[in-house]
Amino acid sequence: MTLRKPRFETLTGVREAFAAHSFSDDELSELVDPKFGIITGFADLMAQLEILRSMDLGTTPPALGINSTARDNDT
Amino acid sequence: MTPDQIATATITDLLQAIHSGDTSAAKITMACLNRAQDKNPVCKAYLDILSDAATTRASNLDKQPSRGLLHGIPFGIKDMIDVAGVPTTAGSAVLSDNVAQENAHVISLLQDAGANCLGKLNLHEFAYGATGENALFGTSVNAFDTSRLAGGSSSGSAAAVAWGLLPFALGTDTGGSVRAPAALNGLVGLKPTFGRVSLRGVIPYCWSLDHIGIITRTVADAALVLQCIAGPDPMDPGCTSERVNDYIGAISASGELNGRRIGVPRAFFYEHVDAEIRATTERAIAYLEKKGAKISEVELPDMSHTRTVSLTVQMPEALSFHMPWLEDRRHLYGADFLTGLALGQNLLAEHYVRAKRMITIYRTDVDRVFGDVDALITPATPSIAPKIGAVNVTTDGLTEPTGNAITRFTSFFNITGHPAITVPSGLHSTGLPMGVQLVGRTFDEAGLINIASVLDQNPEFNVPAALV
Repeated sequence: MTLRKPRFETLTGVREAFAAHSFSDDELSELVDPKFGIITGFADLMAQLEILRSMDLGTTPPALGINSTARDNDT
Repeated sequence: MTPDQIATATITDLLQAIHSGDTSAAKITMACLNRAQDKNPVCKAYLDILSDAATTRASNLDKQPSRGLLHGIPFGIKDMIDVAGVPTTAGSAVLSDNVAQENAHVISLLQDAGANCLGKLNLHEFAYGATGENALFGTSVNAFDTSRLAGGSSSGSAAAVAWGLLPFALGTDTGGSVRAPAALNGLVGLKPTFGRVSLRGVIPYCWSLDHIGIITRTVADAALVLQCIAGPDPMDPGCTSERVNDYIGAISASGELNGRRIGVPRAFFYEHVDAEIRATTERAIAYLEKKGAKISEVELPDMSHTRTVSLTVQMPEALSFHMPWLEDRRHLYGADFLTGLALGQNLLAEHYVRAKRMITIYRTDVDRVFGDVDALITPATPSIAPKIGAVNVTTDGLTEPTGNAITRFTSFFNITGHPAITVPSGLHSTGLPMGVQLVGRTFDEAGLINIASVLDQNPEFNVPAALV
């Protein structure tokens, strides 16, 4: 299935139907029309995440803490 | 020691001078405080200078027998880390009244070692961004060129050491926020293995990627500080009980590497890099080979999704932490951070879990590479310190947001959790510092320090103090 690009109305709909925090129209607008340069576009991120979602990760679990099993020698 | 000598001294120099009676904790503290009063209006490294408490403590330390490895040594901390009785603002108006009740665990450990906290240091609001730009408190500037960024998010930590206000500082590193600003200021930046150092008493940005980091003038000093703060903390469930090694003893005495294996990941980490930074990294590789290291090219996982994975973990975790303040203090947040939190709200739980599963895959793949090598070497940053206010940086044909450029080579090792250190690699023709990054096996900080110390001992790669 090809996803449609999220629009401003998509995000306001999520805000009104699901979300606990009332982000302003300006804040949601930045996600679909970025100007600050940190979030490089919600649509791009969604497209990237869709690629990740299509990857077969088998039984790989989510990352937890690191233990030393991978280490085979120390200085 | 004169005040100018104190401003450029290493921790090791200062300890020797105290031991020989050439100076005292009180004299060092006074010199650092005087310099801070003089320089801070320009460099904006400090948010809060704890003059009275530091002066009193220094006087008391001079009356006591040595308490530990850092007896009488001043330090500063990024204002994400609690000091009892002092506000922890995280560089934000949101937490302006947040007075810490207790010391962070790392502060207690440093105090037990005899170190003396001189103040709280500037940062990007809530550590959300690598430029260090802070609209509320001002932006810490680079010691080598005041029109350029110190880098961030631990901007004040790097600026304080580079401007000669302190011999060392602590920061936090979620995507390179200690290593990158250290490199941009000609300093050493060490991020230990994920969980190696307690985060109790540290304002979180992203629990899955946050690390405490150390900024010093030399690798030997970084080893000294790590020796004091590494170790278990039963009250921090994320802190490991893994054995603490001898980091001080890992400093190379011979300058030889005796067959240590160093991998060079050419793909991604050597692409779109400033030509002089690439050249100095190649010189560092050649020098390590000359000192006995075995150099080989290695292949790391495909990097094309790493920023997506990092962002997808960061923003929901940050949103979860900031819930209590979002309703009644939202007007106090910076606009860019609020947008990031809004992003966190619009990701699916499945996205977050998938990103965490990708972290497992990345860690496993990098661990596999460490079956063949003892360390990796990359440039620390793709470019020199950007100009203040620059929205984008273009390097060797690649244009990207400034913050992304600063952390392009560091952020992956927050995802995998491997220890990493940035070391100066000389001055660029612009007069700005360059650096290389070394990455080690999980919990092999000692091995990493051993290799880094060999580079650090070669004057060809040293960066002279800015002495602004």
